[in-house]
Amino acid sequence: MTLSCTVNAKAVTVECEPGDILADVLRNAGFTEVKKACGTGNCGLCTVLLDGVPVASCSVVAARAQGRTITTIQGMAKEAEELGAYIAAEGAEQCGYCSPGFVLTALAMEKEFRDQGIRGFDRAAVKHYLAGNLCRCSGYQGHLRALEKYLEAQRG
Amino acid sequence: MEIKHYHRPESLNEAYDLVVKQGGQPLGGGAWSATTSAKMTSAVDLSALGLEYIRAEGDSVVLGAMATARALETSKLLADRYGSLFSNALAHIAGVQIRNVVSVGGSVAGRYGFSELLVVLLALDARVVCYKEPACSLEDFLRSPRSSAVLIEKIVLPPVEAAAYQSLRIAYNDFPVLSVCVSRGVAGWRVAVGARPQAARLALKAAEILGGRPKPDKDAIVQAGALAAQELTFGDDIRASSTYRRSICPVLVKRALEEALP
Repeated sequence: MTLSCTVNAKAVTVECEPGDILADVLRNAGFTEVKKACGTGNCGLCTVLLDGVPVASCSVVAARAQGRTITTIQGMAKEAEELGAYIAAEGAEQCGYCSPGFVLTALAMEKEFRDQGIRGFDRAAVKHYLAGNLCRCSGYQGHLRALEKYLEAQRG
Repeated sequence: MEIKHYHRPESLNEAYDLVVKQGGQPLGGGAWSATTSAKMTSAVDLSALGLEYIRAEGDSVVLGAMATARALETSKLLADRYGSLFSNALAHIAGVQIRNVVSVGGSVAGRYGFSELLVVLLALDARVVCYKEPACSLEDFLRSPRSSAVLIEKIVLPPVEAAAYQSLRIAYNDFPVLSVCVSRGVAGWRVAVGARPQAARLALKAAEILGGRPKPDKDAIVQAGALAAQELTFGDDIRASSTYRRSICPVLVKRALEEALP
């Protein structure tokens, strides 16, 4: 089947099988910044924004993306770089494998919180929102320190 | 997952024809698509039917079959009508990225044993509305044969006076070892137990001993927990033994009832 959608503000048309998974189709189309690890929707690494909402792209049938808008971390490169600097400063990037999913989910969280009028750092809310992003090496404390500083900076 | 023919109907009539008349398989949230080896000859994607709504209809709340777990978790309407029940129960399903995929209709159709949502809907005495079919109680739906070809359109939640959810889980966002939801409506208390690990069931004797009293006494609460543990079956799986599940059932029933008391 032919799948047409918008990825990072560019029209994309690819051929895929109806049962193909979105993460695989995106990677095969060259969007290799979408990483895949657990393949069960539990680790958060393959997160993309589908019409602005974070989803595990390993758990979405690609055909469902027809006509929709997908944002990968490359589509938010500027914001990701800014948040990434906070993560690096806290030593939270470690091996870096979880970073694409973690950063994109954190950026979605920041926007969602902002839309809800939540400003600044709410530790419990942040931990809850990011519970679906697993990191094998950092223990998360560095991530939380980085997010606290990033979110406080966003508040201005 | 292998799909031979993929359809994305844009009307309920078209979806009904594909599912009920032609034997297609509905594709709800599709959260299992990565891990299932299922082969679908005809997959009917329900995502273009406009079934993502959560809306009030009089005293009831109606959930479209494609409303996501995350939408329920964060719904102001559900919070207004049922307090923190939905946010408490659904907040631990995997991560936000999966809760944005999991759908109400898919959870009901799948009759998943682990489902936090099913135990809540059962305690609330939800009604399942399948397109062009008479509405039925979730209790009856869960006992109906899986082979029935139906198109779940919406779930209708009646008002309740009180409700609470309790669960025990090994990790923050793991499936529950056991889940309990209680509610008190016009017909009295309802006690539902899920993740047994089989699909949620009502503990009828437990509800009976509580009667219609808004505030049952401590003895009745303890008895209700004991009765729920006696009358329901429990099984073994990787998370817990049947013996363990049976032993924690009274504790969770008691906690849920105490939380729901005025």
